[in-house]
Amino acid sequence: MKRNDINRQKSSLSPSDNEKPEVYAVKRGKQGWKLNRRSFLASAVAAGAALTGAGIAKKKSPEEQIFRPGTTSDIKCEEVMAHLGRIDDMVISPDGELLVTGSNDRIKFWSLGLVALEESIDSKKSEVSTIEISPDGKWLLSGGLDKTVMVWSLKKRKGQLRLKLRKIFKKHNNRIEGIVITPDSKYAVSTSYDGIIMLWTLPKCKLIKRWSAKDYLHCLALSPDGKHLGSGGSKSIKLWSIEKGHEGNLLKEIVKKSRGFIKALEFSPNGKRLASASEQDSMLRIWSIPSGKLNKVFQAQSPWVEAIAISPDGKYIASGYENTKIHSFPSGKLIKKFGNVSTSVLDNVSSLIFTHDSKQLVVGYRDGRVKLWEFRIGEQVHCLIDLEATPNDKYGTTYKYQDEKGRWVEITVPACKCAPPMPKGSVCTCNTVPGRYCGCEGYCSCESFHYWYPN
Amino acid sequence: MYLYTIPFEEKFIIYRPLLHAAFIGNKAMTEVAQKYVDSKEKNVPAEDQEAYSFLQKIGFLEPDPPPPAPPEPCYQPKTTVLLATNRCNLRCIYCYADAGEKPLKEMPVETAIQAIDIAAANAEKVGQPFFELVFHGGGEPTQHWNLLTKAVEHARNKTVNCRIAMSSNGIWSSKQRDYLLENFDGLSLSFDGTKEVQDTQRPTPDGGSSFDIVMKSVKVMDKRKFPYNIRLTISSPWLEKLPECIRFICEETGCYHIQVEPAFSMYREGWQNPSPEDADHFIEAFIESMDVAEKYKKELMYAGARPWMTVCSFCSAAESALVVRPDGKLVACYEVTDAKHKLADIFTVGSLEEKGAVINEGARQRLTDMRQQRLALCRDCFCLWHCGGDCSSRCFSPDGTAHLRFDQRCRINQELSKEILARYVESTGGVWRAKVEILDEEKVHPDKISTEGQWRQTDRVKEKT
Repeated sequence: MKRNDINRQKSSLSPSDNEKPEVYAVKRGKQGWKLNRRSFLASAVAAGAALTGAGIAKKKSPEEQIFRPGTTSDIKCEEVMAHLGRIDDMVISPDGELLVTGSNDRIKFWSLGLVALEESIDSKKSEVSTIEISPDGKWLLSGGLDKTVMVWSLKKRKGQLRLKLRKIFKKHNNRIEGIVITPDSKYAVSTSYDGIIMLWTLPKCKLIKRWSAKDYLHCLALSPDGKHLGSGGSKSIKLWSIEKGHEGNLLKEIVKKSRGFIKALEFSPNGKRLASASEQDSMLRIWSIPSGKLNKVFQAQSPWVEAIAISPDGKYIASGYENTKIHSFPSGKLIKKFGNVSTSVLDNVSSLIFTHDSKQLVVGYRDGRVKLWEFRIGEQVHCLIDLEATPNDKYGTTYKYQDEKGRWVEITVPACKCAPPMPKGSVCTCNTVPGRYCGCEGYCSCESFHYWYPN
Repeated sequence: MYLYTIPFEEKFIIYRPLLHAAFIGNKAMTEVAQKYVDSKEKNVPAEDQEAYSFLQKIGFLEPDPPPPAPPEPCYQPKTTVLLATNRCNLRCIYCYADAGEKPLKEMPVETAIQAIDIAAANAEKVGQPFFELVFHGGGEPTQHWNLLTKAVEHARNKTVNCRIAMSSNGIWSSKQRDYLLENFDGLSLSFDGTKEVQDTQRPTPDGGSSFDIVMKSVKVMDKRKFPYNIRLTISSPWLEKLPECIRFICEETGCYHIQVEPAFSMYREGWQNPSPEDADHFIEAFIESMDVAEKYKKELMYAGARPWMTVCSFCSAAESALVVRPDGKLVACYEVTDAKHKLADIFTVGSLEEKGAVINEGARQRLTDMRQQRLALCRDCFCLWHCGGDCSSRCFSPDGTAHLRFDQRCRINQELSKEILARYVESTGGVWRAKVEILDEEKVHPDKISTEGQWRQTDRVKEKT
């Protein structure tokens, strides 16, 4: 290689007598640029951090190289969006691989392995408020403001998720507030805001039983054995039987006159406890089942708890509103608190769910973000991104890779610090490996929109 | 090894363009850099140790990565650019083509189809999984609706996938708009900002307002999250309004990427070099606009100042695109829309005939030679690797000598590039280094992408740290 001529514009490079080499940081001010001398060490450290962020600080062998999509400190996790609006409900498939989120009129399916969007469907113009997957993994139920429950078949063919709307349950007269599915996947129970609870067959949607909770209902919970149904409403928490022959029998009125709407209900994995949260205060209440006796009360959120989730191993309960808190269950001891307390209500938590292995907590927010947290250490580890919902496309990187069956799969991951590593052999969607020459642009920088720039 | 030292505020930006690295140092630091970059010097004296160690730590002594590949000697364009018509529904004051005022010229559908077939065949031949179809100006492409829709349909029916884009003025009916948003992968919207500037610079043929209808198109594109960028042209009398126009676009549109081009001529179909005063005004206005865009976290670009890129030519129209005029002539620049254009002789490189594309290799070679002559003179300029010799239609002249001269455009390129480099250094606390990775022996996997417009979700991460 030849050393090139140095640009001699307006400068004379006479030897700098007695001048020591120096480097500078710069800052723009009102009067123009201001230069500040920096030590070599400080500059090198700053550069090292930048180089590490750019993935070029340390050269690894090809086998060791974990290819991360281009990440830049410019991209903030707060701006990476999964949905355009509030996350109303989330559910994880029985095999633990798929996270399903519902918001506005979209239902989205995310691979938890790749932490990326697999599929996005519109819920036929119905605003989704609640979703549920059957324990056998074959059916997805979505209920919304249009008073119907949609029954979707859920299949995977040739590595692709296939959804088909099979049936619509239209018997409710008010917006759907809760859906649960029995452990044998044969029955669904749904409730509408007017307090009418219905038990019906899946997937044929044949009504078996209908009864009124005599309350405005907001949520349902089903015990793991499928025998007990909890309903939470404007003033009550009630326990119902849905055992055969006793469907709709009121077993217990756990709370008769709540001072606020019951926001969330959840059974513990062993079915012996029911956790509730209401608008009345910032407390979480744990009730013994089937006695209905109050077991524990502890402070969780302020001014109220919007969402709760109990880990599948039964050890933790998460609550969310202004931030997210993890308490041990059922003792209520605070383990961790994370997520900023913000003045904007849009930053608040709206939905929670633990992953099946009880290692991570998925948090859905009112502004459409969905994040995965290592809740034990309070660290955010993944952001879910849908470019259709994220303010601008520069926040995502799309690449292709071959799955175990040799099929090419294209996915988009966020370009924030949470970008998961790319599988080996991934290629940029301009069909070359990031950093190599790209057939379309001459040099794949993966930064520009791949279409023609007029000069 | 390419190393430049750029005077900056009594110090120097020390810059390695191919490595995408820069920092600011004093004169003594420039000497250390010159001494050890591309040097096999092993014995570093004590007085240089600290500076040398710094250069090592920041990777400044690494060899240059390979520069961009030169154009393929064999002309196999995989992008076709259709200059569909010279009809236009606006009368922009700076229009290079005087569109709408000349005898009508419209491209026959057969010509478009032929051009599409050529690009698609070339893509298939080399295993590239897509080709590109672009509609460009010299007129408003949507004014030749029949051709546009037929060309799109034909392109989408090819076995190899197609990316479709266009430049447009945004004056669409609702049906046109729906069609475009449904069938195109992106577009460049020519829009000049505030109502005052837009209506003055881009009036309708009767001198009326174009602002409202373009904003309507913008709002719909934003609502549907359609990917578009804005190209804003600013003429000399309005330069001081540039920051205001940028602010307007940032606040009122969802557009993320704004490209600004100055127009120093006050005549349609005219081009003139900027005066030093014009150049100063533009530089000042653009820098102020950069501050505005930064506040809104939007990207502002001027085509001659893009140090994040590495190119060997300003625009690859000549090398890798089939640019077709309505009369079937192939040109190397899409501003040469007319046989009477003063640069038509230089930039006409072939034609589409019944038998196929007939390329005038002599004309192509002459153009290439002229560019190479210019690039050879650019080697001392630190903008070399991102400017690529500047826009040919701005630098070339009918007598074939202007390309050997450098004017105020170069100064604009340099001043703005310097400003961008300084901002990079500012943002990183002292050293700018962007990712330039060349990976070992990775296979390129050609594959057929489905036709669902998946490349709307292309990578858009800016690689600067």
